[in-house]
Amino acid sequence: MKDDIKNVNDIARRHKMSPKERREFGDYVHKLKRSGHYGSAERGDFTYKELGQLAKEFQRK
Amino acid sequence: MTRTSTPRMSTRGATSIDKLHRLIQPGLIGKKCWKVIFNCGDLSLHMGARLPYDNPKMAGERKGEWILGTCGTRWVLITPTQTLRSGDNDEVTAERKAKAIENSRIVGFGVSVPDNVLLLDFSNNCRLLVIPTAADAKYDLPYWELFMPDDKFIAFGPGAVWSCRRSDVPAT
Repeated sequence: MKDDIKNVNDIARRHKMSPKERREFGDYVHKLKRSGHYGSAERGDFTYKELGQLAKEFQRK
Repeated sequence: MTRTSTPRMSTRGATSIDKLHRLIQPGLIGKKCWKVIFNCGDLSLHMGARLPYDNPKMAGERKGEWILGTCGTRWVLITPTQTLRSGDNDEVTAERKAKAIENSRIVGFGVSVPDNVLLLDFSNNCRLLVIPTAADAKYDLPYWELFMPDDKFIAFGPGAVWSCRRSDVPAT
Protein backbone atom coordinates (compact mmCIF):
# COMPACT_ATOMS: atom_id res chain seq x y z
CA MET A 1 0.00 0.00 0.00
CA LYS A 2 2.74 2.45 0.93
CA ASP A 3 4.47 1.59 -2.34
CA ASP A 4 1.36 2.61 -4.31
CA ILE A 5 1.18 5.92 -2.47
CA LYS A 6 4.90 6.46 -2.92
CA ASN A 7 4.41 5.97 -6.67
CA VAL A 8 1.63 8.57 -6.78
CA ASN A 9 3.75 11.00 -4.74
CA ASP A 10 6.77 10.39 -6.94
CA ILE A 11 4.78 11.01 -10.11
CA ALA A 12 3.31 14.16 -8.53
CA ARG A 13 6.79 15.41 -7.65
CA ARG A 14 8.00 14.77 -11.20
CA HIS A 15 5.07 16.77 -12.51
CA LYS A 16 5.78 19.58 -10.05
CA MET A 17 2.42 19.25 -8.32
CA SER A 18 1.77 21.01 -5.03
CA PRO A 19 0.48 18.82 -2.17
CA LYS A 20 -3.01 20.15 -2.92
CA GLU A 21 -2.77 19.23 -6.61
CA ARG A 22 -1.30 15.84 -5.72
CA ARG A 23 -4.25 15.26 -3.37
CA GLU A 24 -6.67 16.14 -6.19
CA PHE A 25 -4.75 13.87 -8.55
CA GLY A 26 -5.20 10.98 -6.08
CA ASP A 27 -8.94 11.64 -5.98
CA TYR A 28 -8.99 11.73 -9.79
CA VAL A 29 -7.35 8.28 -9.88
CA HIS A 30 -9.96 7.05 -7.40
CA LYS A 31 -12.76 8.50 -9.53
CA LEU A 32 -11.44 6.70 -12.62
CA LYS A 33 -11.28 3.38 -10.80
CA ARG A 34 -14.77 3.73 -9.35
CA SER A 35 -16.11 4.51 -12.83
CA GLY A 36 -14.65 1.26 -14.16
CA HIS A 37 -11.40 2.58 -15.63
CA TYR A 38 -8.82 0.24 -14.11
CA GLY A 39 -5.10 -0.05 -14.50
CA SER A 40 -3.22 -3.15 -15.57
CA ALA A 41 -1.49 -3.76 -12.22
CA GLU A 42 -2.68 -6.05 -9.45
CA ARG A 43 -6.20 -5.35 -8.10
CA GLY A 44 -6.84 -2.98 -11.01
CA ASP A 45 -4.30 -0.46 -9.77
CA PHE A 46 -2.36 1.66 -12.22
CA THR A 47 1.27 0.94 -13.04
CA TYR A 48 3.89 3.63 -12.58
CA LYS A 49 3.86 4.28 -16.32
CA GLU A 50 0.07 4.50 -16.41
CA LEU A 51 0.08 6.92 -13.48
CA GLY A 52 2.54 9.10 -15.39
CA GLN A 53 0.18 9.19 -18.35
CA LEU A 54 -2.75 10.00 -16.09
CA ALA A 55 -0.78 12.84 -14.47
CA LYS A 56 -0.15 14.36 -17.92
CA GLU A 57 -3.81 14.04 -18.76
CA PHE A 58 -4.77 15.53 -15.38
CA GLN A 59 -2.60 18.60 -15.88
CA ARG A 60 -3.78 19.19 -19.45
CA LYS A 61 -6.21 22.11 -19.15
CA MET B 1 8.08 43.26 2.10
CA THR B 2 4.84 41.33 2.54
CA ARG B 3 5.26 37.72 3.50
CA THR B 4 2.51 35.59 1.98
CA SER B 5 3.68 32.08 2.70
CA THR B 6 3.01 30.12 5.86
CA PRO B 7 6.31 29.36 7.55
CA ARG B 8 7.14 25.69 7.64
CA MET B 9 7.46 24.25 11.11
CA SER B 10 9.08 20.96 11.88
CA THR B 11 8.88 19.88 15.45
CA ARG B 12 9.14 16.77 17.56
CA GLY B 13 8.44 15.62 21.11
CA ALA B 14 5.58 15.85 23.58
CA THR B 15 5.43 19.65 23.72
CA SER B 16 5.19 19.75 19.96
CA ILE B 17 2.23 17.37 20.13
CA ASP B 18 0.49 19.92 22.37
CA LYS B 19 1.22 22.51 19.71
CA LEU B 20 -0.20 20.20 17.05
CA HIS B 21 -3.38 19.71 19.05
CA ARG B 22 -3.78 23.46 19.46
CA LEU B 23 -3.34 23.93 15.73
CA ILE B 24 -5.93 21.34 14.71
CA GLN B 25 -8.53 20.85 17.45
CA PRO B 26 -10.26 24.26 17.48
CA GLY B 27 -11.05 24.10 13.77
CA LEU B 28 -11.69 20.41 13.30
CA ILE B 29 -13.90 19.56 16.27
CA GLY B 30 -17.56 19.74 15.29
CA LYS B 31 -16.95 19.39 11.56
CA LYS B 32 -19.08 16.88 9.69
CA CYS B 33 -17.30 14.03 7.91
CA TRP B 34 -19.39 13.76 4.75
CA LYS B 35 -17.22 11.72 2.37
CA VAL B 36 -14.97 8.71 2.96
CA ILE B 37 -12.90 7.18 0.17
CA PHE B 38 -10.31 4.42 0.16
CA ASN B 39 -7.80 4.50 -2.66
CA CYS B 40 -4.43 2.74 -2.98
CA GLY B 41 -4.33 2.17 0.78
CA ASP B 42 -5.16 5.78 1.59
CA LEU B 43 -8.30 6.21 3.67
CA SER B 44 -9.44 9.80 3.12
CA LEU B 45 -11.96 11.66 5.23
CA HIS B 46 -13.48 14.81 3.75
CA MET B 47 -14.79 17.14 6.45
CA GLY B 48 -16.25 20.60 6.85
CA ALA B 49 -17.38 22.77 3.95
CA ARG B 50 -17.83 21.14 0.53
CA LEU B 51 -15.52 22.89 -1.92
CA PRO B 52 -15.14 22.47 -5.67
CA TYR B 53 -11.92 20.91 -6.89
CA ASP B 54 -9.50 23.26 -8.63
CA ASN B 55 -8.83 20.86 -11.51
CA PRO B 56 -11.40 20.84 -14.33
CA LYS B 57 -11.13 17.02 -14.58
CA MET B 58 -12.95 16.96 -11.23
CA ALA B 59 -15.70 19.37 -12.28
CA GLY B 60 -18.94 18.69 -10.45
CA GLU B 61 -17.18 16.84 -7.61
CA ARG B 62 -16.69 18.28 -4.13
CA LYS B 63 -13.85 17.98 -1.64
CA GLY B 64 -13.68 18.81 2.06
CA GLU B 65 -12.16 21.99 3.41
CA TRP B 66 -10.45 19.54 5.79
CA ILE B 67 -9.11 16.27 4.36
CA LEU B 68 -7.35 13.60 6.39
CA GLY B 69 -5.38 10.98 4.47
CA THR B 70 -3.86 7.94 6.19
CA CYS B 71 -1.06 7.55 3.62
CA GLY B 72 -1.17 3.76 3.64
CA THR B 73 -0.59 3.54 7.40
CA ARG B 74 -2.49 0.80 9.23
CA TRP B 75 -5.83 1.93 10.64
CA VAL B 76 -8.61 0.49 12.73
CA LEU B 77 -12.18 1.76 12.70
CA ILE B 78 -14.21 0.78 15.73
CA THR B 79 -17.97 1.16 15.34
CA PRO B 80 -20.67 0.16 17.82
CA THR B 81 -21.24 -3.03 15.82
CA GLN B 82 -17.87 -4.03 14.34
CA THR B 83 -14.14 -3.46 14.19
CA LEU B 84 -12.77 -2.83 10.72
CA ARG B 85 -9.04 -3.12 10.02
CA SER B 86 -7.32 -1.61 6.99
CA GLY B 87 -6.06 -4.92 5.62
CA ASP B 88 -9.19 -6.99 6.26
CA ASN B 89 -11.05 -6.35 3.02
CA ASP B 90 -10.56 -5.41 -0.59
CA GLU B 91 -10.56 -1.70 -1.36
CA VAL B 92 -14.21 -1.41 -2.40
CA THR B 93 -15.52 -3.38 0.60
CA ALA B 94 -13.30 -1.48 3.05
CA GLU B 95 -14.54 1.81 1.61
CA ARG B 96 -18.17 0.73 1.86
CA LYS B 97 -17.75 -0.34 5.50
CA ALA B 98 -15.72 2.75 6.46
CA LYS B 99 -18.62 4.88 5.25
CA ALA B 100 -20.11 4.14 8.68
CA ILE B 101 -18.58 7.45 9.76
CA GLU B 102 -20.11 9.49 6.95
CA ASN B 103 -22.42 12.25 8.16
CA SER B 104 -21.14 12.10 11.71
CA ARG B 105 -19.22 14.91 13.37
CA ILE B 106 -15.71 14.97 14.77
CA VAL B 107 -15.94 15.06 18.56
CA GLY B 108 -12.36 14.19 19.46
CA PHE B 109 -8.88 14.44 17.99
CA GLY B 110 -5.58 13.45 19.49
CA VAL B 111 -2.13 12.05 18.86
CA SER B 112 -0.64 9.87 21.56
CA VAL B 113 2.98 9.91 22.66
CA PRO B 114 5.29 8.02 22.22
CA ASP B 115 3.50 5.64 19.84
CA ASN B 116 2.25 8.41 17.53
CA VAL B 117 -1.21 6.90 17.21
CA LEU B 118 -3.79 9.26 15.75
CA LEU B 119 -7.23 9.06 17.29
CA LEU B 120 -10.43 10.53 15.88
CA ASP B 121 -13.76 10.20 17.66
CA PHE B 122 -17.06 10.65 15.87
CA SER B 123 -20.49 11.70 17.07
CA ASN B 124 -21.97 8.31 16.13
CA ASN B 125 -19.72 6.54 18.65
CA CYS B 126 -17.16 5.42 16.07
CA ARG B 127 -13.44 5.74 16.68
CA LEU B 128 -10.69 5.76 14.06
CA LEU B 129 -7.12 4.91 15.04
CA VAL B 130 -4.19 5.36 12.67
CA ILE B 131 -1.44 3.17 14.06
CA PRO B 132 2.07 3.49 12.63
CA THR B 133 4.40 0.50 12.80
CA ALA B 134 8.18 0.25 12.66
CA ALA B 135 7.83 -0.72 8.98
CA ASP B 136 6.06 2.58 8.21
CA ALA B 137 9.05 4.51 9.52
CA LYS B 138 11.19 3.04 6.74
CA TYR B 139 9.19 4.84 4.06
CA ASP B 140 9.78 8.42 3.11
CA LEU B 141 6.07 9.07 3.64
CA PRO B 142 4.12 10.70 6.46
CA TYR B 143 1.99 8.49 8.69
CA TRP B 144 -0.92 10.77 7.88
CA GLU B 145 -1.57 14.17 6.39
CA LEU B 146 -4.21 16.78 6.97
CA PHE B 147 -5.27 19.42 4.47
CA MET B 148 -6.71 22.42 6.25
CA PRO B 149 -8.42 25.70 5.33
CA ASP B 150 -6.30 28.58 4.01
CA ASP B 151 -4.07 26.22 2.03
CA LYS B 152 -2.35 24.83 5.11
CA PHE B 153 -1.15 21.28 5.22
CA ILE B 154 0.14 19.15 8.08
CA ALA B 155 2.24 16.04 7.49
CA PHE B 156 2.91 13.82 10.52
CA GLY B 157 5.75 11.29 10.51
CA PRO B 158 7.72 9.25 9.98
CA GLY B 159 8.68 9.30 13.63
CA ALA B 160 7.26 11.93 15.93
CA VAL B 161 8.10 14.73 13.52
CA TRP B 162 5.45 16.88 11.95
CA SER B 163 5.41 19.88 9.68
CA CYS B 164 2.91 22.55 8.71
CA ARG B 165 3.35 24.26 5.39
CA ARG B 166 1.43 25.62 2.43
CA SER B 167 -0.43 23.05 0.36
CA ASP B 168 -0.46 25.11 -2.82
CA VAL B 169 3.29 25.29 -3.31
CA PRO B 170 5.20 22.37 -4.85
CA ALA B 171 7.78 20.79 -2.53
CA THR B 172 11.34 21.87 -3.30
